[in-house]
Amino acid sequence: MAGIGFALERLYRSNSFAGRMASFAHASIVAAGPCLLSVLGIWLISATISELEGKTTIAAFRALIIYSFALSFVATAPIALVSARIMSDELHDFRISNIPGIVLAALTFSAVLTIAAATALFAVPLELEPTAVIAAVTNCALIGLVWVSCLFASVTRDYTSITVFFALGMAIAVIGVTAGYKLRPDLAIMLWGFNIGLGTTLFGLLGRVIATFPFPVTGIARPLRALTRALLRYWPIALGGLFGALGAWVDKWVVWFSPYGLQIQYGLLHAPLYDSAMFLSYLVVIPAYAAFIIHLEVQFFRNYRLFYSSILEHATLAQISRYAKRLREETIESLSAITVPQLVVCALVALSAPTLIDVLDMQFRQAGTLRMGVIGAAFQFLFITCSSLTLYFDRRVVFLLLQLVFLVLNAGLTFALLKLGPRYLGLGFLVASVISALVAYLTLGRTLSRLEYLTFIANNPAVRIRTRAAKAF
Amino acid sequence: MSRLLRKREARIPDVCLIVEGAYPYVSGGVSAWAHGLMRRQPDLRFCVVAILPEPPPPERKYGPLPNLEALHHLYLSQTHFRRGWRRPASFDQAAFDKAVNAFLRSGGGLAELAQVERLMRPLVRTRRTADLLDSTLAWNLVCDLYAREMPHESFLHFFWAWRALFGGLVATMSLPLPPARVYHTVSTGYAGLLAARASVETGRPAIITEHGVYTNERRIEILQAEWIVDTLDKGFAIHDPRRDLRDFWTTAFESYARACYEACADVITLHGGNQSAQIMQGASPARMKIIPNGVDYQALSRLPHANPEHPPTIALVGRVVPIKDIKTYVQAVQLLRSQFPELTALVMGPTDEQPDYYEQCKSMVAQLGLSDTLRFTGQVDVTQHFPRIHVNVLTSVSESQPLSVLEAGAAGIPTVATNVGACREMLLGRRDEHPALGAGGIVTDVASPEQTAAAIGELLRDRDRRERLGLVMQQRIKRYYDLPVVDEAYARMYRRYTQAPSQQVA
Repeated sequence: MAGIGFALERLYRSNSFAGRMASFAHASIVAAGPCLLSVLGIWLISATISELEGKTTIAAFRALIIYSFALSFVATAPIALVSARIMSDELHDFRISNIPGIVLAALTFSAVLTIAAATALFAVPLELEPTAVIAAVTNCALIGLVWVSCLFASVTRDYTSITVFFALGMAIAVIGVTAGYKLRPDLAIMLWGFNIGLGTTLFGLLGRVIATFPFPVTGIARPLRALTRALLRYWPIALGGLFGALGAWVDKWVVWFSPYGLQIQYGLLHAPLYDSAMFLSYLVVIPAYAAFIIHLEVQFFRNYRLFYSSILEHATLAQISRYAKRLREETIESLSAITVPQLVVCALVALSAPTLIDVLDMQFRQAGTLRMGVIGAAFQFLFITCSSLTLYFDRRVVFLLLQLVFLVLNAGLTFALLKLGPRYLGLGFLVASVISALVAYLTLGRTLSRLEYLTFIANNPAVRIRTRAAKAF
Repeated sequence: MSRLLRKREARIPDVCLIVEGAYPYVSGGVSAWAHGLMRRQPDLRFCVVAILPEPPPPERKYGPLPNLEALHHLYLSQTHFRRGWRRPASFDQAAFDKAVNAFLRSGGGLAELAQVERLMRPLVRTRRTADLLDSTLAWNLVCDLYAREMPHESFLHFFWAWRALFGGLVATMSLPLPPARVYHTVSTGYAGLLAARASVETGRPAIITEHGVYTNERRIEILQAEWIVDTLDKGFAIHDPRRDLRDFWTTAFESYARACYEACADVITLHGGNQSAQIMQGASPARMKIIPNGVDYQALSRLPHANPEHPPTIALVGRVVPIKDIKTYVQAVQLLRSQFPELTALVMGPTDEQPDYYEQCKSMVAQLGLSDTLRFTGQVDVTQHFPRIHVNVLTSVSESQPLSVLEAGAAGIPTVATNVGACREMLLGRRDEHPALGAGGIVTDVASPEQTAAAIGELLRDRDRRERLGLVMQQRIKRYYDLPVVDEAYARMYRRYTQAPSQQVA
């Protein structure tokens, strides 16, 4: 019966289950670490130099560094997340020789974007001297590149290198800035001092990435095209990254532009009452991030792999569901186990705010902001972890929507609650963090409760690809 | 009836031919048959539904025909539609679940299919059939089915088996049905399922012309499939009630076949050999018919006969592939050569389909010292060679209704053929042949070079018998297998069914 009969096998494919998401989603969480470390760095520099004379230059320097951090974070977040995603795909598919190309493309994109954005910001509206503009643009570009390299290093789970090079870079930056300041209290010199530290971190991290993937890059055009395509393909991740970065800074910007904002030298804006209290609050939740990364490594990944490998090793549905249940329960348990003590610590910090303010030479008017900031930061931790965990299960649009929720709430509530007066600065951030954390927690819970369905149907790349292919004709 | 309605009615094609994995993308076999059927019915307007696993369609092997008005595609991987806003409230999941279970699992027939179709209708109307594969509804369905069917099996395998099978069912049930006066499928399977659905939905008659027995072929394919993993070791237990994935696939195809046979007004085969298998699958003996393949008797019968004084020449017309068992033919030639030193043996057919097998055959010919006797001609115009052939040979281990026997017979050449497919029927006559014409060749056992050689030897030695058998073959072919006879049988059937009133299937 020639002619009749087609290969049933072509309709029957048992490949392509998530799993590839693991290293990528990881990056988005690990990324929070360096940001916090940077805050620590800025704080250390300010603390060291504040002993010296010439507070205006220091204030301008600190404001510029904060600008650079904010700008580079916003400009590179989409590129960093999407390039981490494609790097994750390449790792999963054992095409590791493509990785240096992706790294180079991501760094090129980030450098171009940050230099363009920084030049537009530092050269046009601010009244900086040309030498300071060059130093500030370099600073912004370096921070962007460090951030992207850090993500690549985190995809390879090279946490020791990340920590070592960050600590080393920050130490050199602190020394460089103070030494430069002593040489001549000039903004450009201080910025170059900081740049030396950033350069050390950048080259250290890149060295680790190159040592891990020692493959030649034959051309830049192809990886650049691949990254552009990926930005379009993974647009929810890119946009989610952008919203996430904006969300993290938007409350500061709202306050800077409010009556609580101050214009200092060169037209730089900042809000000393708000900024220092908020940065201190972020430092308080560092232990939670550290604990969460440990949980990811020790417990979450074990359960995550058990779940996916049970499917690929032909377990029955009952067995698969057992692993899903375990993943669900242990993830929620761990989140609670980390968040609750962190909240207690934050509550203690909030209670002892006056003492802390006294010790750190802050203003007593900041007590309310510090209290709301620390509690808000704990909830923001919960928001970041829960929303990033949704990426492990390839819930891109959900991730995007969660970031959008936080961005809108943080901007809207901070602005709306400005009227309540300086004692309530930070309340907008607190309420936005609490609501967003609850939404993200519930979303994560829903994702985890439908894990089998999401894995086999809604998020199964093989199912999606075939549906797409069918629609194309 | 308004003019508009009449105009629309007049535009409806007469016949919708439903072909799975073949026409117009594969040459030969069923494709050639379908193309020839449409070409020789110029007064009827056709449309074709070509069933393919997934897009894009391969390159066409057959060009357009003036009476082929439309070529539709049914891609089994295509879920069809997710455009509606919301799932209709009238969709009853529990009832649908039950109906699908009854249809797929219990080897259900047309009534069960009609129930599935009825329950699916709200989703088809609102363009939400993709929900059946890609929603939580689908997930619940697959989990329920898995729990009932084979909770001990690999869920991954079950999921993909379900998706492939059920996806094909959903694709078939949700394809916008091309209107036609009669739906003609060339197999059971998904093509048969579509024909059954068409008869249920439109009330128009459906017919089937089955060349082989589709369900049997799928069963063999499924049993041999390495991509279906055996996770259930049944050992030698015959009555182990546990079902595995192979059972799942097989039962589904049996259900499709049963629904198709029940829906079809005529169940046609090329020869009687297939009918018992069809009856076992649920076909009603009362609806069974045989319409064989036809050959151009007028042209072939005018070919000159081989000169009896010329060196004896025999031929096997067919592709050089294992199923044709060319090696038995080679062995038979070796046995004959001692009796007929001047013997010429030909193998006329393409050699490139299975090059390894061709190489094996060639080295066997060389080892047996038959290089001067046996020749592989490759694909040739057999009518050019028939005038010097004394005996046609067929050693296949499996056949349906080989055209080579009919073509040689029309040219007055008797055939020695193995007892496969329709060979016995063609050579010795059908049971209902009246008046009986007698033998037109010799039937041998499969894989028996001795019997094949003995039969060929008899015919080569006995010129009178050879000519007598050749004459009987010509008479038989003129009566039953001549193209105009076959075409008239289809034309008659199409006339009857295109004019039949629409009927609702209970």
